[in-house]
Amino acid sequence: MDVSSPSKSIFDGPLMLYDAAVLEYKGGGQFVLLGEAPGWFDGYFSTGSDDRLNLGDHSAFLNVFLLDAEQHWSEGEGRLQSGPWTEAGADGRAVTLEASAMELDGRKLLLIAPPTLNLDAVQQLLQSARDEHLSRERERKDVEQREVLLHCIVHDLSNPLSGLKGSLQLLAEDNLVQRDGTELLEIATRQVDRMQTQIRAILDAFRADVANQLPTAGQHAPPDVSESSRAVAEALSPAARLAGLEIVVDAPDEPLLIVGDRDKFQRVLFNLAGNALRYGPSGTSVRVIVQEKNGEVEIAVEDEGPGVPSERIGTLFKRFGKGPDGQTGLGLYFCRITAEHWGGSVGYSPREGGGARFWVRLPRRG
Amino acid sequence: MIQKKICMIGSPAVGKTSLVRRYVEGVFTDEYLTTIGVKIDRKTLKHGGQDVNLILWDLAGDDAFQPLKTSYLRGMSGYLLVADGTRRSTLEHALQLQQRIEEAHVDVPFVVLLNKHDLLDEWDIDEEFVQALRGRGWDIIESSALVGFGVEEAFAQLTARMLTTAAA
Repeated sequence: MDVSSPSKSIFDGPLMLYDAAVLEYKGGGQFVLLGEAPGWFDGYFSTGSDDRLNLGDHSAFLNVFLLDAEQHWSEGEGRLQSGPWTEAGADGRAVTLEASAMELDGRKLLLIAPPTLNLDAVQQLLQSARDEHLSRERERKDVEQREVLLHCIVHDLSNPLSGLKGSLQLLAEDNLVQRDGTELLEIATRQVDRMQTQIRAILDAFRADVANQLPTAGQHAPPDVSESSRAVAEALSPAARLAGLEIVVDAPDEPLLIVGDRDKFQRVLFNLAGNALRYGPSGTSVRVIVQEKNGEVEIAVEDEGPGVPSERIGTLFKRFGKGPDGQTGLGLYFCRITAEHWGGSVGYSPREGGGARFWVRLPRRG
Repeated sequence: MIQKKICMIGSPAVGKTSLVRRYVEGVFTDEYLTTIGVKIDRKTLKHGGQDVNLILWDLAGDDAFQPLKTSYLRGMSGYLLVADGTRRSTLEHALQLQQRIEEAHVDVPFVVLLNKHDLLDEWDIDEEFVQALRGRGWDIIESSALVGFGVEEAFAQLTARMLTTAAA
């Protein structure tokens, strides 16, 4: 750029060491460069032969900063600094610059230069402060999740307990015949066994995390969906009877083997059927429907309760997502990670005729 | 050509710079470098048969170290209010920022982005709260700069709203 200002020599020398461009404001958005142009200047502003430059036309940032600068020149004292900004110049190269507006002997000056502070050092400093903040936030969240986990554990323990309590309550009724009593005692014993297994699993979970409870395919006997569905229904039947509900299994008589292991699969079913018993109104049925579809086995659990509000459907299966009643839990999350680990899927849809329908689809074995 | 200035506003580390990079360059870098000051990018998109030149102001995340400079908002036609879906506090902070912007008498369209949707298992946003905000007429989009989900949609939606506001 050809500059013919009589004062140019004042702005050469020391300022050039800072790679700074010094411009004088001439009004109407026009600036004139004083002294030599620094290396970055011509590429950034695409200067031609014209002495006058409209900086706002070249830089969106300066376009805004100059509004403050004009006000500063008319009434301010000292220096107005822009702070660093990064923007591509006319040559397409992104450059980080800082601008300062000041008045000197009645002349309105604008100084533009790469930041004087070492930006990398500033960035590192800021970043470490923010990293620390983020890590504190993560710790807080972990503590919060541990508390939720504790609530879930209590909830998990209460399911078999209610089965046990139901059996014992029914035993206490006078009109039970001996054979029924023996059967109920057997159910109660199995529930106690299940509780002990769960307590061991919970202790393991506390050592690590719920994700570490991921089932390992192939380690255990593959589940027979029909048999497991009936076993879970039987275990929950005392609780169902107490709630005035009937639990019905609609499954093929012959074995239907799927990928996975029996205990984890039954836990999935306990979660789904347990939820259904909680929401199904007295006098209605909870149905466990097993069907084979295109090489997969679908197990659907239906109840005739209020269903899941639409705003909660999206988070049902998420970790610490809210269940149908807005309670936070891990039960449905466990169902999802288990099914997905075995190459299957889970889902929810409203039941035709009202109520909820939760389903699990798992690949059929062999 | 129509020009519109859009500001990216939100807490630090919510993914504002990554969203801009995904939108402008179509890339994602898994490296967090805190933004200092402001970064300006441009992107032209077609809306209703006309070219719109978006000038994207990626502002440093607002916190005690680098508070939001309201002077940067001058001339803004709209803004993306970005929160990290895995950190509930960033959505609460985004609401405070929106209030500060409103108090500065800047009445322009905005869209809320709940970013990092790829980390669904760590999602920390209360769906009912989001529904309540939607009930106030807010546009809320879940996005992921990592996989590119919801990014184009957010900019397109904000552009549509800015143009509608300008035409009204």
